[in-house]
Amino acid sequence: MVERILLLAKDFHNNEYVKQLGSFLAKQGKRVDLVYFDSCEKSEQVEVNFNAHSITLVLNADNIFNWAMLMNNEIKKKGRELFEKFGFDIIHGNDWITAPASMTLKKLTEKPLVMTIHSTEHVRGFGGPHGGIISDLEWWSGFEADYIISCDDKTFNSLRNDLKIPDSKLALIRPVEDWKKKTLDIYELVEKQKK
Amino acid sequence: MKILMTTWEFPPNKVGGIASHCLDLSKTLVNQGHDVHVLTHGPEEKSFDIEGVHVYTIPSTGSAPDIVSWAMFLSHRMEKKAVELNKEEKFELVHAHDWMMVPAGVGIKKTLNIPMVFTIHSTEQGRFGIGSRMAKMINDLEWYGTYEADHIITVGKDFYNEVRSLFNPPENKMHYIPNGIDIERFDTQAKPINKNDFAADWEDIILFVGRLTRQKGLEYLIYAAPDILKEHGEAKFVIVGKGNLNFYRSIASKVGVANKMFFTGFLEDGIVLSLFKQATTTVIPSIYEPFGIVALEAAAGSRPSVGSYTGGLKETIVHEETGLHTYPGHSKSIADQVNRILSDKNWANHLGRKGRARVEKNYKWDKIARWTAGVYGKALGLW
Repeated sequence: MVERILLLAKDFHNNEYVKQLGSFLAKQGKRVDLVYFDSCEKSEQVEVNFNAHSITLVLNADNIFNWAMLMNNEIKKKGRELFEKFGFDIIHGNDWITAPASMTLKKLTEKPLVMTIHSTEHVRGFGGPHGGIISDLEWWSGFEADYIISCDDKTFNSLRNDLKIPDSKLALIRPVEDWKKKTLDIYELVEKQKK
Repeated sequence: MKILMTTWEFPPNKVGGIASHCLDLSKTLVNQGHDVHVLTHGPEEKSFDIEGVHVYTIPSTGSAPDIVSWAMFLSHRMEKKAVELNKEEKFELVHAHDWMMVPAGVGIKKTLNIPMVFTIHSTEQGRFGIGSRMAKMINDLEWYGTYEADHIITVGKDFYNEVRSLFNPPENKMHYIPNGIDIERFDTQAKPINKNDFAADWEDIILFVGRLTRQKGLEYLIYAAPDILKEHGEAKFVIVGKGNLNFYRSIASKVGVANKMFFTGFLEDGIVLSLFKQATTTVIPSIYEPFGIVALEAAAGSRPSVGSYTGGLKETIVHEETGLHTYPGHSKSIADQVNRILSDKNWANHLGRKGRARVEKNYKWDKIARWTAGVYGKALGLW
């Protein structure tokens, strides 16, 4: 049974998905540790069983892609430290922006990785010069994750058709009533598969 | 020690001097009993051994819009490979070379919780200046490497001060270790060449070896050529290296020396070694040179060099002992010093012999690798 979850996200306080999921899991008696980016490093208890740890980066980058790649190094460090303290049953990354740390921590700990891809570069339309390389990261995270969750039809179809992620590890969980429970079910499923 | 080295170039993939540096350093470390694994770029993921060094090539991506993003992506893939390898190998430290490997070095350090040593071979400020957003990013990555590394190695004494003033790292984690040179290669791997493929029998080869970029200052040698040829019509300039050939050919035509200047493009190592030995002198007209390995290569071939009094060339050439210094970016000064060499061949031979002896004493890889292992030991808290 999944008891401890490491959540990775770019932000926390404006991120309803992560806030609600963390809170729900904590209420189910699971230990949740979230690592996210902020302007300073701190750890706080959001509620019983739900802790949030912010990391920060000492330099700026010239674009969001390069910034994300460096920021992920800090997530890896914090994620490893938390793993050493608590051990986790599942790593749950969010979007390409935490994909490098998600994939590396999976390799390091050999624990299952669930990725929620909220939108793909194909859906967003490759608007900037880094669209292609971001899409590459989305593909890699789809390739290495044990399960990929999408929250809307457009993204689900893009993951399936553009990034060719097999149906066997792809879920569409719309943000309606029981989405958090369904997410926990996926954790249980991938953990069982891994065993 | 179990060392993981990251370098974007490693033989057979050679672009600049970092590839040779990493090969020579890693194989000497292996000979000294260390276990060295090298992560480098390659078109496909594969592994092979070179003289006891375990090499793993990793591709990057074809989708990167610029070199920085390309290096970031490569670094991420290298770090995943490092984590895989570490299950068996249990690396003790990571040694990253130059800005392109800073994200990999830092990522591996933070993921595997091992110390990082960072060798900085040159700076963006010195190479091109900080004139664009990308140059600023590269400069920032260089700073980030010095910030995150447990120990920093700089390859020149002057360059040590450059890195200190640019990035201001704590002095107790900075080290100066020069590049080494594989002297035996000059004796065993030089390929026989037909001099007539490069110059006539009666001509003296004035050799230039390096990338054809602004930093290397080739134009100053070309502008010096008429003054050299006026006194020594027997001089023949052989220019070895890749880059903007047409640009430099057009300068040679403009100053009327095109027929005395042979641009070879890229040449295999064995031929270049022979050219170093055959040349009357090698000229290094660089305007920025953190180390100046070419002067040591000329010396290893027992020939004198003429090089700018800048950066590492201040130490790799000893004026009037192993070669001659010129003012940087000063064609008249180059012409004067090359003419001195051409005017007194006995003296030139004497400088060459002294250069070879100095290289044998100070720049053998055996010594440099032991010095580097000393820094590794510091990073590991062994002393």
